[in-house]
Amino acid sequence: MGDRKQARDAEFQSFFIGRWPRLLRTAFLLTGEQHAAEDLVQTTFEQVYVAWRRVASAEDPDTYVRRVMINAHARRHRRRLKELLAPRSDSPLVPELPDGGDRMAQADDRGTLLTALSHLPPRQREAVVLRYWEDLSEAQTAEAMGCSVGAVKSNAAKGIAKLRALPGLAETVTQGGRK
Amino acid sequence: MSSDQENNRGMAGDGKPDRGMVGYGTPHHGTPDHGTTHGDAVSRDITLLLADATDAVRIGAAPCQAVVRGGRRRKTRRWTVAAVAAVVIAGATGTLALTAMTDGDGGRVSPAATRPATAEERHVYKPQKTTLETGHDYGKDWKVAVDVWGAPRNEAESSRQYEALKRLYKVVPVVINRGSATPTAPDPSEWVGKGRVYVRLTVGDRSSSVVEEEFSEGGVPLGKGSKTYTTPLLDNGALQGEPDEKSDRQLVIGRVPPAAQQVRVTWSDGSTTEIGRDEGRLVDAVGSRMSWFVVLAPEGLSYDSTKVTK
Repeated sequence: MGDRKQARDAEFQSFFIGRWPRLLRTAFLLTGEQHAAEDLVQTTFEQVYVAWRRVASAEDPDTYVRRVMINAHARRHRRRLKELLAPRSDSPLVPELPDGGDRMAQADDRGTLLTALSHLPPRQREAVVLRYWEDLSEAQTAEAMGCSVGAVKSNAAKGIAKLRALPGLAETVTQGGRK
Repeated sequence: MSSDQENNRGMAGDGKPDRGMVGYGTPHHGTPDHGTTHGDAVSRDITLLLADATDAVRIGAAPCQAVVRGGRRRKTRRWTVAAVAAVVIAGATGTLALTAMTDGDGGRVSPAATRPATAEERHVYKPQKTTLETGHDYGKDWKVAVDVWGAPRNEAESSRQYEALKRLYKVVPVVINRGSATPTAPDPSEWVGKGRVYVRLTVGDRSSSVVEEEFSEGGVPLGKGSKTYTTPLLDNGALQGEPDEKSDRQLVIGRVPPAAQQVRVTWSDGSTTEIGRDEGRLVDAVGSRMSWFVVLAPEGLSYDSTKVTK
Protein backbone atom coordinates (compact mmCIF):
# COMPACT_ATOMS: atom_id res chain seq x y z
CA MET A 1 0.00 0.00 0.00
CA GLY A 2 2.78 2.39 1.06
CA ASP A 3 4.82 1.46 -1.99
CA ARG A 4 1.89 2.17 -4.29
CA LYS A 5 1.41 5.57 -2.69
CA GLN A 6 5.09 6.37 -3.07
CA ALA A 7 4.99 5.33 -6.70
CA ARG A 8 1.93 7.53 -7.29
CA ASP A 9 3.64 10.48 -5.62
CA ALA A 10 6.76 9.94 -7.72
CA GLU A 11 4.68 9.77 -10.88
CA PHE A 12 2.84 12.95 -9.93
CA GLN A 13 6.07 14.80 -9.16
CA SER A 14 7.58 13.77 -12.44
CA PHE A 15 4.49 15.00 -14.26
CA PHE A 16 4.54 18.26 -12.32
CA ILE A 17 8.23 18.91 -13.00
CA GLY A 18 7.63 18.36 -16.70
CA ARG A 19 4.73 20.79 -16.88
CA TRP A 20 6.07 23.45 -14.51
CA PRO A 21 8.00 25.68 -16.97
CA ARG A 22 5.30 25.75 -19.60
CA LEU A 23 2.39 26.26 -17.25
CA LEU A 24 4.28 28.91 -15.32
CA ARG A 25 4.59 30.89 -18.53
CA THR A 26 0.91 30.40 -19.30
CA ALA A 27 -0.01 31.47 -15.79
CA PHE A 28 2.26 34.50 -16.14
CA LEU A 29 0.36 35.62 -19.21
CA LEU A 30 -2.92 35.11 -17.37
CA THR A 31 -1.90 36.91 -14.19
CA GLY A 32 0.82 39.31 -15.39
CA GLU A 33 2.87 38.74 -12.28
CA GLN A 34 5.56 36.23 -11.33
CA HIS A 35 4.36 35.40 -7.83
CA ALA A 36 0.72 35.25 -8.81
CA ALA A 37 1.69 32.92 -11.66
CA GLU A 38 3.62 30.63 -9.32
CA ASP A 39 0.71 30.68 -6.91
CA LEU A 40 -1.76 29.83 -9.67
CA VAL A 41 0.29 26.88 -10.92
CA GLN A 42 0.85 25.61 -7.39
CA THR A 43 -2.84 25.84 -6.57
CA THR A 44 -3.64 24.04 -9.79
CA PHE A 45 -1.29 21.17 -9.08
CA GLU A 46 -2.44 20.87 -5.47
CA GLN A 47 -5.90 20.20 -6.87
CA VAL A 48 -4.47 17.86 -9.46
CA TYR A 49 -2.67 15.98 -6.69
CA VAL A 50 -5.95 15.37 -4.89
CA ALA A 51 -7.42 13.81 -8.03
CA TRP A 52 -4.18 12.32 -9.31
CA ARG A 53 -5.40 8.74 -9.59
CA ARG A 54 -8.19 9.90 -11.90
CA VAL A 55 -5.98 12.38 -13.78
CA ALA A 56 -3.18 9.88 -14.37
CA SER A 57 -5.57 7.43 -15.94
CA ALA A 58 -7.21 10.08 -18.12
CA GLU A 59 -6.64 9.99 -21.85
CA ASP A 60 -5.16 13.49 -21.86
CA PRO A 61 -4.14 14.68 -18.39
CA ASP A 62 -3.02 18.04 -19.79
CA THR A 63 -6.60 18.86 -20.71
CA TYR A 64 -7.65 18.28 -17.12
CA VAL A 65 -4.78 20.38 -15.77
CA ARG A 66 -5.57 23.27 -18.09
CA ARG A 67 -9.23 23.14 -17.09
CA VAL A 68 -8.31 23.26 -13.41
CA MET A 69 -5.97 26.18 -13.99
CA ILE A 70 -8.49 28.20 -15.98
CA ASN A 71 -11.14 27.54 -13.34
CA ALA A 72 -8.77 28.66 -10.59
CA HIS A 73 -7.91 31.79 -12.55
CA ALA A 74 -11.57 32.57 -13.25
CA ARG A 75 -12.45 32.01 -9.60
CA ARG A 76 -9.83 34.49 -8.46
CA HIS A 77 -11.19 37.07 -10.83
CA ARG A 78 -14.77 36.54 -9.90
CA ARG A 79 -14.02 37.06 -6.25
CA ARG A 80 -11.80 40.08 -6.73
CA LEU A 81 -13.66 43.34 -6.77
CA LYS A 82 -11.34 45.37 -8.88
CA GLU A 83 -13.06 48.62 -8.27
CA LEU A 84 -12.44 48.24 -4.56
CA LEU A 85 -8.75 48.07 -5.12
CA ALA A 86 -7.51 51.52 -5.95
CA PRO A 87 -4.93 51.31 -8.74
CA ARG A 88 -1.62 52.01 -7.16
CA SER A 89 1.74 51.99 -8.86
CA ASP A 90 3.41 49.24 -6.84
CA SER A 91 0.36 47.30 -5.87
CA PRO A 92 0.82 43.54 -6.24
CA LEU A 93 -1.97 43.59 -8.82
CA VAL A 94 -0.01 45.69 -11.27
CA PRO A 95 1.74 43.56 -13.90
CA GLU A 96 5.32 42.98 -13.02
CA LEU A 97 7.66 44.59 -15.49
CA PRO A 98 10.81 42.76 -16.41
CA ASP A 99 14.30 44.08 -15.83
CA GLY A 100 15.52 46.57 -18.37
CA GLY A 101 19.20 47.11 -18.98
CA ASP A 102 20.40 46.63 -22.50
CA ARG A 103 17.17 44.90 -23.45
CA MET A 104 15.08 47.91 -22.60
CA ALA A 105 13.21 47.93 -25.91
CA GLN A 106 12.17 44.32 -25.49
CA ALA A 107 11.18 44.98 -21.92
CA ASP A 108 9.07 47.92 -23.09
CA ASP A 109 7.26 45.68 -25.59
CA ARG A 110 6.72 43.06 -22.95
CA GLY A 111 5.51 45.60 -20.47
CA THR A 112 3.10 47.01 -23.03
CA LEU A 113 1.76 43.59 -23.92
CA LEU A 114 1.43 42.48 -20.30
CA THR A 115 -0.33 45.68 -19.37
CA ALA A 116 -2.62 45.29 -22.36
CA LEU A 117 -3.34 41.69 -21.41
CA SER A 118 -4.07 42.68 -17.83
CA HIS A 119 -6.66 45.16 -19.09
CA LEU A 120 -8.51 42.52 -21.07
CA PRO A 121 -11.53 41.02 -19.31
CA PRO A 122 -10.51 37.63 -17.86
CA ARG A 123 -12.40 35.53 -20.39
CA GLN A 124 -10.86 37.39 -23.33
CA ARG A 125 -7.42 37.07 -21.79
CA GLU A 126 -7.93 33.35 -21.23
CA ALA A 127 -9.11 32.87 -24.80
CA VAL A 128 -6.15 34.79 -26.25
CA VAL A 129 -3.59 33.00 -24.09
CA LEU A 130 -4.99 29.53 -24.73
CA ARG A 131 -5.40 30.07 -28.46
CA TYR A 132 -2.23 31.98 -29.25
CA TRP A 133 0.20 30.88 -26.56
CA GLU A 134 -1.01 27.43 -25.61
CA ASP A 135 -1.76 26.91 -29.29
CA LEU A 136 -5.03 25.12 -28.66
CA SER A 137 -7.78 24.66 -31.19
CA GLU A 138 -11.07 26.46 -30.65
CA ALA A 139 -12.65 23.22 -29.45
CA GLN A 140 -9.83 22.55 -27.00
CA THR A 141 -9.97 26.13 -25.75
CA ALA A 142 -13.71 25.82 -25.27
CA GLU A 143 -13.17 22.65 -23.27
CA ALA A 144 -10.55 24.31 -21.08
CA MET A 145 -12.73 27.36 -20.49
CA GLY A 146 -15.92 25.38 -20.05
CA CYS A 147 -17.79 27.35 -22.69
CA SER A 148 -18.96 27.05 -26.30
CA VAL A 149 -16.73 27.30 -29.36
CA GLY A 150 -18.69 30.40 -30.35
CA ALA A 151 -17.83 32.07 -27.06
CA VAL A 152 -14.16 31.24 -27.60
CA LYS A 153 -14.22 32.74 -31.09
CA SER A 154 -15.91 35.85 -29.84
CA ASN A 155 -13.63 36.31 -26.81
CA ALA A 156 -10.45 35.64 -28.76
CA ALA A 157 -11.44 37.99 -31.59
CA LYS A 158 -12.35 40.79 -29.21
CA GLY A 159 -9.17 40.26 -27.21
CA ILE A 160 -6.97 40.34 -30.28
CA ALA A 161 -8.75 43.40 -31.61
CA LYS A 162 -8.06 45.24 -28.36
CA LEU A 163 -4.42 44.19 -28.36
CA ARG A 164 -4.02 45.33 -31.95
CA ALA A 165 -5.58 48.66 -31.14
CA LEU A 166 -2.75 49.52 -28.76
CA PRO A 167 -0.36 51.90 -30.51
CA GLY A 168 2.87 50.22 -29.39
CA LEU A 169 1.63 46.75 -30.18
CA ALA A 170 -0.07 47.65 -33.41
CA GLU A 171 3.25 48.85 -34.74
CA THR A 172 5.03 45.71 -33.63
CA VAL A 173 2.34 43.50 -35.05
CA THR A 174 2.24 45.21 -38.41
CA GLN A 175 6.03 44.87 -38.64
CA GLY A 176 5.69 41.14 -38.35
CA GLY A 177 6.56 40.80 -34.68
CA ARG A 178 9.65 41.93 -32.94
CA LYS A 179 12.72 40.40 -34.46
CA MET B 1 1.00 6.76 -17.69
CA SER B 2 4.53 7.71 -18.39
CA SER B 3 5.35 10.98 -16.75
CA ASP B 4 7.44 12.03 -19.67
CA GLN B 5 4.70 11.26 -22.10
CA GLU B 6 4.06 14.28 -24.28
CA ASN B 7 6.28 16.24 -21.99
CA ASN B 8 6.73 19.76 -23.35
CA ARG B 9 5.55 18.61 -26.70
CA GLY B 10 7.21 20.69 -29.38
CA MET B 11 8.96 22.88 -26.87
CA ALA B 12 12.43 23.71 -25.82
CA GLY B 13 13.53 22.37 -22.45
CA ASP B 14 12.53 25.53 -20.63
CA GLY B 15 8.89 25.15 -21.56
CA LYS B 16 8.98 27.75 -24.33
CA PRO B 17 8.02 26.87 -27.88
CA ASP B 18 11.00 25.98 -29.97
CA ARG B 19 10.95 28.87 -32.38
CA GLY B 20 13.36 27.16 -34.70
CA MET B 21 10.94 24.30 -35.03
CA VAL B 22 9.23 24.12 -38.37
CA GLY B 23 5.55 24.57 -37.94
CA TYR B 24 5.50 26.63 -34.78
CA GLY B 25 2.89 29.21 -35.48
CA THR B 26 1.21 26.72 -37.76
CA PRO B 27 0.69 24.36 -34.93
CA HIS B 28 -0.62 20.88 -34.57
CA HIS B 29 -4.07 22.11 -33.71
CA GLY B 30 -4.31 24.49 -36.63
CA THR B 31 -3.35 28.12 -36.56
CA PRO B 32 -5.78 30.47 -34.92
CA ASP B 33 -7.01 32.53 -37.80
CA HIS B 34 -9.68 34.90 -38.80
CA GLY B 35 -10.06 33.56 -42.28
CA THR B 36 -7.51 35.78 -44.02
CA THR B 37 -3.83 35.73 -44.75
CA HIS B 38 -3.49 38.95 -42.85
CA GLY B 39 -5.29 37.26 -39.97
CA ASP B 40 -2.71 34.47 -40.05
CA ALA B 41 0.13 36.96 -39.95
CA VAL B 42 -1.40 38.83 -37.07
CA SER B 43 -2.02 35.57 -35.21
CA ARG B 44 1.58 34.58 -35.71
CA ASP B 45 2.77 37.95 -34.51
CA ILE B 46 0.62 37.81 -31.42
CA THR B 47 1.95 34.32 -30.74
CA LEU B 48 5.50 35.60 -31.02
CA LEU B 49 4.77 38.59 -28.81
CA LEU B 50 3.25 36.34 -26.18
CA ALA B 51 6.29 34.08 -26.37
CA ASP B 52 8.55 37.11 -25.94
CA ALA B 53 6.49 38.33 -23.01
CA THR B 54 7.09 35.06 -21.20
CA ASP B 55 10.82 35.79 -21.29
CA ALA B 56 10.18 37.84 -18.20
CA VAL B 57 9.27 34.72 -16.22
CA ARG B 58 11.92 33.40 -13.91
CA ILE B 59 11.72 29.62 -14.11
CA GLY B 60 12.99 28.21 -10.86
CA ALA B 61 12.91 24.64 -9.66
CA ALA B 62 9.42 23.14 -9.55
CA PRO B 63 8.25 23.34 -5.91
CA CYS B 64 7.41 19.65 -5.70
CA GLN B 65 7.43 19.29 -1.94
CA ALA B 66 5.27 22.36 -1.41
CA VAL B 67 2.72 21.17 -3.94
CA VAL B 68 2.58 17.66 -2.53
CA ARG B 69 2.21 19.07 1.00
CA GLY B 70 -0.52 21.42 -0.22
CA GLY B 71 -2.26 18.58 -2.02
CA ARG B 72 -2.17 16.42 1.10
CA ARG B 73 -3.59 19.29 3.15
CA ARG B 74 -6.43 19.63 0.65
CA LYS B 75 -7.10 15.89 0.86
CA THR B 76 -7.13 16.05 4.66
CA ARG B 77 -9.36 19.11 4.62
CA ARG B 78 -11.78 17.30 2.34
CA TRP B 79 -11.98 14.43 4.79
CA THR B 80 -12.28 16.82 7.73
CA VAL B 81 -15.10 18.72 6.06
CA ALA B 82 -16.88 15.44 5.33
CA ALA B 83 -16.43 14.35 8.94
CA VAL B 84 -17.65 17.70 10.31
CA ALA B 85 -20.64 17.57 7.97
CA ALA B 86 -21.47 14.11 9.28
CA VAL B 87 -21.29 15.36 12.87
CA VAL B 88 -23.44 18.39 12.02
CA ILE B 89 -26.05 16.18 10.39
CA ALA B 90 -26.01 13.88 13.41
CA GLY B 91 -26.27 16.91 15.70
CA ALA B 92 -29.11 18.38 13.68
CA THR B 93 -30.97 15.10 13.79
CA GLY B 94 -30.56 15.07 17.57
CA THR B 95 -31.85 18.64 17.75
CA LEU B 96 -34.87 17.79 15.65
CA ALA B 97 -35.58 14.82 17.87
CA LEU B 98 -35.24 17.10 20.89
CA THR B 99 -37.63 19.71 19.53
CA ALA B 100 -40.22 17.03 19.00
CA MET B 101 -40.06 16.05 22.66
CA THR B 102 -42.33 17.51 25.23
CA ASP B 103 -41.77 18.03 28.92
CA GLY B 104 -43.88 16.47 31.64
CA ASP B 105 -46.59 19.12 31.35
CA GLY B 106 -46.94 18.65 27.66
CA GLY B 107 -45.09 21.91 26.89
CA ARG B 108 -42.42 21.90 24.22
CA VAL B 109 -38.78 21.78 25.19
CA SER B 110 -37.09 24.93 24.02
CA PRO B 111 -34.24 24.31 21.62
CA ALA B 112 -32.82 27.80 22.23
CA ALA B 113 -29.31 26.51 22.87
CA THR B 114 -29.10 25.05 19.36
CA ARG B 115 -30.50 28.08 17.52
CA PRO B 116 -28.11 28.89 14.64
CA ALA B 117 -26.46 32.30 14.64
CA THR B 118 -28.23 34.78 12.40
CA ALA B 119 -26.48 36.43 9.48
CA GLU B 120 -26.30 39.64 11.53
CA GLU B 121 -24.69 37.79 14.43
CA ARG B 122 -22.19 36.32 12.04
CA HIS B 123 -21.39 39.82 10.71
CA VAL B 124 -22.35 38.92 7.17
CA TYR B 125 -23.77 42.35 6.38
CA LYS B 126 -21.65 44.51 8.66
CA PRO B 127 -17.96 43.83 9.12
CA GLN B 128 -16.04 43.67 12.36
CA LYS B 129 -13.42 46.39 12.29
CA THR B 130 -9.95 46.46 13.80
CA THR B 131 -7.61 49.42 13.51
CA LEU B 132 -4.11 48.26 12.66
CA GLU B 133 -2.12 51.48 12.56
CA THR B 134 -2.51 55.22 12.42
CA GLY B 135 -0.10 57.98 11.54
CA HIS B 136 0.35 61.54 10.38
CA ASP B 137 2.54 62.19 7.34
CA TYR B 138 2.67 64.85 4.66
CA GLY B 139 0.28 66.90 6.76
CA LYS B 140 -2.42 64.23 6.60
CA ASP B 141 -3.77 61.75 9.09
CA TRP B 142 -3.83 58.20 7.84
CA LYS B 143 -5.27 55.01 9.21
CA VAL B 144 -5.14 51.36 8.21
CA ALA B 145 -8.00 49.18 9.41
CA VAL B 146 -9.10 45.67 8.62
CA ASP B 147 -12.74 44.80 8.00
CA VAL B 148 -13.74 41.18 8.50
CA TRP B 149 -17.01 40.11 6.88
CA GLY B 150 -18.62 36.89 8.04
CA ALA B 151 -19.16 34.03 5.60
CA PRO B 152 -22.56 33.90 3.88
CA ARG B 153 -24.21 30.50 4.13
CA ASN B 154 -26.31 30.71 0.98
CA GLU B 155 -26.58 32.69 -2.25
CA ALA B 156 -29.20 35.05 -0.87
CA GLU B 157 -26.85 36.02 1.95
CA SER B 158 -24.00 36.37 -0.58
CA SER B 159 -25.96 38.79 -2.73
CA ARG B 160 -27.04 40.83 0.27
CA GLN B 161 -23.46 40.93 1.50
CA TYR B 162 -22.28 42.22 -1.85
CA GLU B 163 -24.90 44.98 -1.74
CA ALA B 164 -23.87 45.89 1.82
CA LEU B 165 -20.25 45.95 0.80
CA LYS B 166 -20.96 48.22 -2.17
CA ARG B 167 -22.89 50.60 0.05
CA LEU B 168 -20.26 50.71 2.77
CA TYR B 169 -17.32 51.17 0.42
CA LYS B 170 -19.22 53.44 -1.96
CA VAL B 171 -18.38 51.23 -4.91
CA VAL B 172 -18.96 52.68 -8.32
CA PRO B 173 -18.34 50.71 -11.48
CA VAL B 174 -15.12 51.70 -13.16
CA VAL B 175 -15.21 51.81 -16.91
CA ILE B 176 -11.97 50.75 -18.48
CA ASN B 177 -10.86 49.51 -21.80
CA ARG B 178 -13.26 51.31 -24.07
CA GLY B 179 -16.56 50.55 -22.56
CA SER B 180 -16.12 47.26 -20.75
CA ALA B 181 -17.18 47.94 -17.21
CA THR B 182 -15.59 45.77 -14.57
CA PRO B 183 -16.29 43.99 -12.51
CA THR B 184 -19.67 42.47 -12.83
CA ALA B 185 -21.32 41.33 -9.63
CA PRO B 186 -19.62 38.19 -8.36
CA ASP B 187 -21.22 34.82 -8.75
CA PRO B 188 -23.06 34.55 -5.39
CA SER B 189 -22.26 30.86 -5.13
CA GLU B 190 -18.55 31.70 -5.11
CA TRP B 191 -18.92 33.68 -1.90
CA VAL B 192 -20.86 31.06 0.04
CA GLY B 193 -18.88 29.69 2.97
CA LYS B 194 -16.10 32.24 2.65
CA GLY B 195 -15.47 35.21 4.88
CA ARG B 196 -13.88 38.29 3.40
CA VAL B 197 -11.22 40.64 4.62
CA TYR B 198 -10.69 44.15 3.33
CA VAL B 199 -7.78 46.22 4.50
CA ARG B 200 -8.84 49.84 4.22
CA LEU B 201 -6.41 52.70 3.95
CA THR B 202 -7.79 56.10 4.86
CA VAL B 203 -5.72 59.18 4.11
CA GLY B 204 -7.40 62.41 5.07
CA ASP B 205 -11.02 61.88 4.14
CA ARG B 206 -10.39 59.37 1.34
CA SER B 207 -10.61 55.62 1.85
CA SER B 208 -9.78 52.75 -0.42
CA SER B 209 -9.35 49.00 -0.13
CA VAL B 210 -5.74 48.01 -0.58
CA VAL B 211 -6.08 44.33 0.20
CA GLU B 212 -8.89 41.87 -0.39
CA GLU B 213 -8.72 38.31 0.86
CA GLU B 214 -11.01 35.39 1.52
CA PHE B 215 -10.93 33.06 4.47
CA SER B 216 -12.73 29.91 5.45
CA GLU B 217 -15.68 30.04 7.79
CA GLY B 218 -13.36 28.97 10.60
CA GLY B 219 -11.40 32.18 10.17
CA VAL B 220 -8.36 30.61 8.54
CA PRO B 221 -6.93 32.37 5.49
CA LEU B 222 -7.33 30.46 2.25
CA GLY B 223 -3.89 31.46 1.00
CA LYS B 224 -0.51 30.82 2.52
CA GLY B 225 0.11 31.56 6.18
CA SER B 226 1.98 34.80 5.65
CA LYS B 227 1.53 37.39 2.97
CA THR B 228 2.83 40.92 2.55
CA TYR B 229 1.37 43.70 0.46
CA THR B 230 2.83 47.08 -0.42
CA THR B 231 1.10 50.22 -1.50
CA PRO B 232 2.06 53.88 -1.75
CA LEU B 233 0.81 55.83 1.23
CA LEU B 234 -0.67 58.50 -1.00
CA ASP B 235 -2.39 58.18 -4.33
CA ASN B 236 -0.35 58.77 -7.44
CA GLY B 237 0.20 62.40 -8.09
CA ALA B 238 -0.94 63.48 -4.65
CA LEU B 239 2.48 64.96 -3.96
CA GLN B 240 2.82 66.80 -7.24
CA GLY B 241 3.21 70.48 -6.64
CA GLU B 242 4.37 70.03 -3.06
CA PRO B 243 6.86 72.77 -2.33
CA ASP B 244 9.57 70.50 -0.98
CA GLU B 245 8.97 67.78 -3.61
CA LYS B 246 8.90 64.95 -1.16
CA SER B 247 8.54 61.49 -2.62
CA ASP B 248 5.79 59.17 -1.52
CA ARG B 249 6.51 56.47 1.04
CA GLN B 250 5.67 52.83 0.80
CA LEU B 251 3.22 51.32 3.22
CA VAL B 252 3.81 47.66 4.02
CA ILE B 253 0.84 45.61 5.17
CA GLY B 254 1.38 42.01 6.21
CA ARG B 255 -0.59 39.05 7.42
CA VAL B 256 1.02 36.39 9.61
CA PRO B 257 -0.27 33.38 11.53
CA PRO B 258 -1.71 34.25 14.95
CA ALA B 259 1.08 32.32 16.69
CA ALA B 260 3.72 34.72 15.34
CA GLN B 261 5.28 36.85 18.05
CA GLN B 262 7.76 38.88 16.07
CA VAL B 263 8.23 39.82 12.44
CA ARG B 264 11.29 41.28 10.74
CA VAL B 265 10.79 43.48 7.70
CA THR B 266 13.88 43.97 5.56
CA TRP B 267 14.20 47.08 3.41
CA SER B 268 15.88 47.62 0.06
CA ASP B 269 19.19 48.71 1.64
CA GLY B 270 19.32 45.66 3.93
CA SER B 271 18.24 47.50 7.06
CA THR B 272 15.45 45.93 9.10
CA THR B 273 12.50 46.81 11.30
CA GLU B 274 11.35 44.47 14.06
CA ILE B 275 7.64 44.33 14.78
CA GLY B 276 6.58 42.60 17.97
CA ARG B 277 3.29 41.47 19.43
CA ASP B 278 4.41 42.80 22.83
CA GLU B 279 4.47 46.33 21.48
CA GLY B 280 0.95 45.87 20.15
CA ARG B 281 2.07 46.16 16.55
CA LEU B 282 1.06 42.62 15.60
CA VAL B 283 -2.69 42.91 15.83
CA ASP B 284 -5.31 40.14 15.74
CA ALA B 285 -8.13 41.00 13.36
CA VAL B 286 -11.40 40.56 15.21
CA GLY B 287 -13.55 37.92 13.54
CA SER B 288 -10.72 35.95 11.98
CA ARG B 289 -7.70 33.96 12.98
CA MET B 290 -5.15 36.28 11.42
CA SER B 291 -2.67 38.77 12.75
CA TRP B 292 -1.68 41.83 10.81
CA PHE B 293 1.03 44.46 10.91
CA VAL B 294 1.50 47.76 9.16
CA VAL B 295 4.78 49.61 8.81
CA LEU B 296 5.77 52.64 6.80
CA ALA B 297 8.99 52.29 4.83
CA PRO B 298 11.80 54.65 5.81
CA GLU B 299 12.10 57.54 3.38
CA GLY B 300 13.83 56.58 0.15
CA LEU B 301 13.65 52.84 0.86
CA SER B 302 11.31 50.16 -0.36
CA TYR B 303 10.16 46.83 0.95
CA ASP B 304 12.32 43.79 0.37
CA SER B 305 11.12 40.86 2.49
CA THR B 306 9.32 39.70 5.60
CA LYS B 307 10.30 36.97 8.02
CA VAL B 308 8.54 35.68 11.10
CA THR B 309 11.40 35.48 13.59
CA LYS B 310 9.52 34.30 16.69
